[in-house]
This record gives sequence, C-alpha cells and structure tokens, in this order.
Amino acid sequence: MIVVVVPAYNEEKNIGRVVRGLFENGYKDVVVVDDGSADKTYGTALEAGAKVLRHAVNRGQGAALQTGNDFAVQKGARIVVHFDADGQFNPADIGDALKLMRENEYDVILGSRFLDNRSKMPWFKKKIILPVARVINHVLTGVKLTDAHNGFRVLSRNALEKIDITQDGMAHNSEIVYKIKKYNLKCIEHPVEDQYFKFGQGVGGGLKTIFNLLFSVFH
Amino acid sequence: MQILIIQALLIAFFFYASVRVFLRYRANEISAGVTMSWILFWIIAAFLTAKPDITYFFARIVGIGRGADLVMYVALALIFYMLFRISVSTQKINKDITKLTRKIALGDYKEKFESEQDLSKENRINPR
Repeated sequence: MIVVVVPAYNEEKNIGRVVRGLFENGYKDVVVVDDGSADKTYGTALEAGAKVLRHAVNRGQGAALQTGNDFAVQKGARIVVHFDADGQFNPADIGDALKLMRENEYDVILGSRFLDNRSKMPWFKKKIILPVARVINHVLTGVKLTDAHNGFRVLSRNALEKIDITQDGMAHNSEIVYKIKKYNLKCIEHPVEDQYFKFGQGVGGGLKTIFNLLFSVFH
Repeated sequence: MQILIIQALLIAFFFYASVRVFLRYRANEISAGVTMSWILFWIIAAFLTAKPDITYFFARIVGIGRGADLVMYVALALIFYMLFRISVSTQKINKDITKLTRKIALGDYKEKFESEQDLSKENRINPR
C-alpha cells in the first residue's frame, strides 16, 4: 500500500487540484492532513475524495507530516510519499521515484529541483535562499544534498518506523536528513519538477526558512 | 537619609510587583511557595535598592569595584538562566500540544469514518 501524505494549511484554492492530480496518476490512498486551516481546506479535500485528518490547531508542517506518517503506518502502508499541497509538484514524478526505490531498495528518496532544469525558480530563491539553506543543512546534518527544503520525499516502511519527526515547523527538513544519516538509511536524490505559479513563499518567507533552520539548532 | 528619585521609583515598582504576585495567588493561579519566593525576591530587591552599600560590601568580597555592577552581573546571569528554563518548558508544552492535536486528529478520523466499518465487523463476528 502506497500512501501519499499531503500536509495542507490554508490551501483551499489548490488542494482539490492536487488530490485529483494524484488520483489521476493512480494513487488511491491520498491522505490530506489539514493543519488547522482557517479556510475550507478540509471540506475541499474531502470533496475531492481524499482521506482527511484535521489538526484542531495549527502545529506546523513537520507536525502534519508526522500525523500523516502515523496514520499511514496504522493503515499498514509499505511506502509513504510526502507531497506538497500548493500544487507546484508534478504527480508524474512519483512513479519514477517509486521505481527507483523498488529497483535499488532505497529507504528514502528525496526530491531535488536541481537535478534537471524543469523547475523554474525565482532568482532570489534559486541563487540566494536555497544555496544558503543548503550550506546550513550540510553543517547541521553532515549530509551534502543538491536541494534543501524540498517537500517531495518517498519513505520506505523501514524509514517510517525509524524517522519520528519531532520538529513541528520547517526545521523538520533538516531533522529528516539528520535522521537518515543517524539510522544509516539508504537514500538518494531524485529530480522533481516544481512549477512556480506564484512567487512561492516570497523573499520574507525564504528568509524565515533560513532563520528557522538556524533556530532549530537551539531546539 | 536621602533617597534618589530612581530609588523611589524602583521601590514603588517592586511594591507593585509584589501586589501583582499576591493577587495572582488570591486568584488561585500560583502556589503559596511560588508566591513566597517572588515576594521575598522583591523585598530583597527593594532592600538592596534602599541600602546599596550592602551590595558594595559583597562586591568587594568577590572582587568587583561597584555594588551596582555586582547586581547587574547577578541579575543578567539569573535572567538568562530563567530564559533558558522558560524556553525548555515552552518547548515541552509545544510538544505536548502537538501530541494531543495528533491524537485528537487520528481519533476524530476513526470516529467519523471508521466507526461504521468497525460496527459491521463486530456484527460479522457476533451475528444476531
């Protein structure tokens, strides 16, 4: 059983399209974790046909992902895919990642926007935010990756049982990478497309990500 | 004895702080132990403000020139230590809230979407 976990916070405009896109690509177990949204994310995801869990209060993306992981493990998932709710990922990338995992018995596949040139990122994000985040991630986790803060992941059952996400906010990205190394999980990066319909999180959001990463050291 | 304006202001503030502590106690928000500790703290602070020479005496013992400097050093050390304690406790509360939120989310889902299935399973096991 392959479960796609989609953490969503105030994504009523995108969540329906994301869930339908996943169904169209053959993934029937789509779990949306509504992280205390103030809008109609919950209802929209339900209408689209997803299984929807709802956090009564907003706890952050890391917390939402772990809730989805717990649910998937309870239901007997063999593989969990983490997929963003903003509609910027391409669900067609999941199939290749799953194939890669099966053929080489990887525990974790991490999405990267830098392994091909399909992702058109805003200049500031590509040239400033992500390179800085990459260096911080490298220092924090000891793992060198081509991308940082990419929400696309495929986790095997083995990885799911070992990686417990305790960082509720955005620092969960570094935590996952850190735990991959800690538990010696077999991991590889895989190219994914990230379509930028809008300027994403913006300059402020990007700087906030870097700040969160640095702050996570003190946690 | 001449009291400087700053001394009077500080002592007035310490008195206000003590009253606030007492009111919290009366509203049953803090324990008697916490109330006593804080009131004692503010009384000592007021006493040292009124009689700064005492701090000078201690400052000389530990090798600092001015009593006010000693108070600053000790206060800063205490404040940072308290910040650390508060940050640890906030983090623990945050983790607990997340655990509760997760438990409720998983429980709600089960109740809403799986209770009918469970019921039908039960009926299969114990058909009437």
